[in-house]
Amino acid sequence: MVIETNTLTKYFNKVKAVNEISISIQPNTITGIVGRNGAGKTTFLKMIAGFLKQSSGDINVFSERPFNSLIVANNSIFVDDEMLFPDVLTLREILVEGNRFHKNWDMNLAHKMLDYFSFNPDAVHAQLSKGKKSTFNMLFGLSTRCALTIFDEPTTGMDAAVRKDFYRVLLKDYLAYPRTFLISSHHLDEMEHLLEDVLLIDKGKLLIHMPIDDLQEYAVGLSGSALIMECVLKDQDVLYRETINKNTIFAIVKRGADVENLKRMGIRIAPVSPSDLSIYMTKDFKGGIDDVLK
Amino acid sequence: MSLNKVNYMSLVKKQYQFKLKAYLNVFNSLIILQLFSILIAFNPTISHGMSGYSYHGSLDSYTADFSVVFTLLWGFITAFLITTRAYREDDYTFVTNNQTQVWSNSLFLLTISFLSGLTAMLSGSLYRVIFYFAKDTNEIIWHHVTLTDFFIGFMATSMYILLFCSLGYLAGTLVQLHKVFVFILPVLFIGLLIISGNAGKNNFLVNSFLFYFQEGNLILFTLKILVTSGLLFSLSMLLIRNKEVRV
Repeated sequence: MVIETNTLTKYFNKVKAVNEISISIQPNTITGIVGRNGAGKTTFLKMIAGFLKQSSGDINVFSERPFNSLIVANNSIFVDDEMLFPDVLTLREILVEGNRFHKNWDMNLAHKMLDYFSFNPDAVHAQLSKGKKSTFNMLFGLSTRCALTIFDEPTTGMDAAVRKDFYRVLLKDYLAYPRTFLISSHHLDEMEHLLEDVLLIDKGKLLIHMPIDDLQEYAVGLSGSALIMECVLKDQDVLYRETINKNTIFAIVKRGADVENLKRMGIRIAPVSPSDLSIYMTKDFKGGIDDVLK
Repeated sequence: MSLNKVNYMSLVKKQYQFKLKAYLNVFNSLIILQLFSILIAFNPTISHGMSGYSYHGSLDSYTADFSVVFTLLWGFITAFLITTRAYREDDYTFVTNNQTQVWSNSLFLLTISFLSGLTAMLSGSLYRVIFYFAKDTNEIIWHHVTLTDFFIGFMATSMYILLFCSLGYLAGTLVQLHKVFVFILPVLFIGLLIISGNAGKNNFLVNSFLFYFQEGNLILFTLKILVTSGLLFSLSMLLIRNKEVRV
């Protein structure tokens, strides 16, 4: 196992940012970490990177406690849009430093990407635009070829074309040099084809940790008239329900129901994509954004 | 994928070399300060006037020691500065932990102590040259400086700067641990000055100053400073060991 956590918990001033998460992550996999803003994804990832120390529970990365560990620092890279680079070094010089610090560094890849994304090698990181910063951080992270590469919302500010390129270069580089990736993102629908596992976190708690293929089959959406739906839902494992109007109820249930039977009862059945599922499962039962405007 | 092992000392060396490049801009402020110190040194520090029945004379003393004073302050501030968030997090973009960071920072500060000690001494020479051309008088009595004097001056200045650097680093580390030290430290400093001023000659603070400043033997003096600043850096390392980054 590359990462193992056991009831990992982190408080910030009595607020539980991460609440008893226990997972293990296999080497050479790509895991997507999804959840709403403030769900605790970043805190969780920073504990793995060794930046933050847990309040309770255990965490092991490469069989070491990551906080202050040189083994973890040497074999992992944490990429987000707040990465700081010295402001006297140009992009080209930053790459040279990356090469000095990271043994597996691929300078060829770094320079090719620098060229492809049309960076001026003599530019300074602090003066790049938001999207460009994210792009540079991403190419830095990929070039390190660290055994554990953590991307925390790497696509912030990137336009759609760059995001697409990023997913592609990540997948290709992963196939050529298998290593462990953790990627947190709000664009699960765009990344589905990359991911092997998905970790869904809500309010600091782990909701789901399973292969993306299973997640695609995990749930179905049902909608039908309120009367019939009320009956049907009693026997189902309901993940989400919403009253569309007086006569219609929409619900997401764990797969396993007798689909043919439901169809005969006049219930419409629709597949639920992992992306939609993660949105529905982390929705507060306070109604939607529409209710704010009422 | 197999893991890469870490050699502690070679990592410290890498970080040190990185800092020599990445912290280059600290020298900009040094150059400006030392040039400024030459400028203000054109005011005499002491003036003597003499007049008798048939003559009138005056003696003005000039010194370039301001340069050393400014450099000491610069050392303190620079050391303080590299403990701040931006500098600290730069390291975490590459490879580091709390201990190797203090090691490489103290090596960096040791290096700049010698470099700025040298330029502080040399700015004294520059001052003499400018002074010679700028002052419209032939009656200049030079204080003669031999090569040995220069070396002793250089070593002593560098050691003082190192001491100030290690104090600045500790102060910066305390402030990183808790912002309240921004207020506590100056109050403590001024308070101690007042207390030692009132307490007369034989108090702890005066004695500890004398312990360093009255040491006549250069080798002993160097040892005293090296041990003291080593202890101060170790204290910083001890204090920072549980500090989280990028909170």
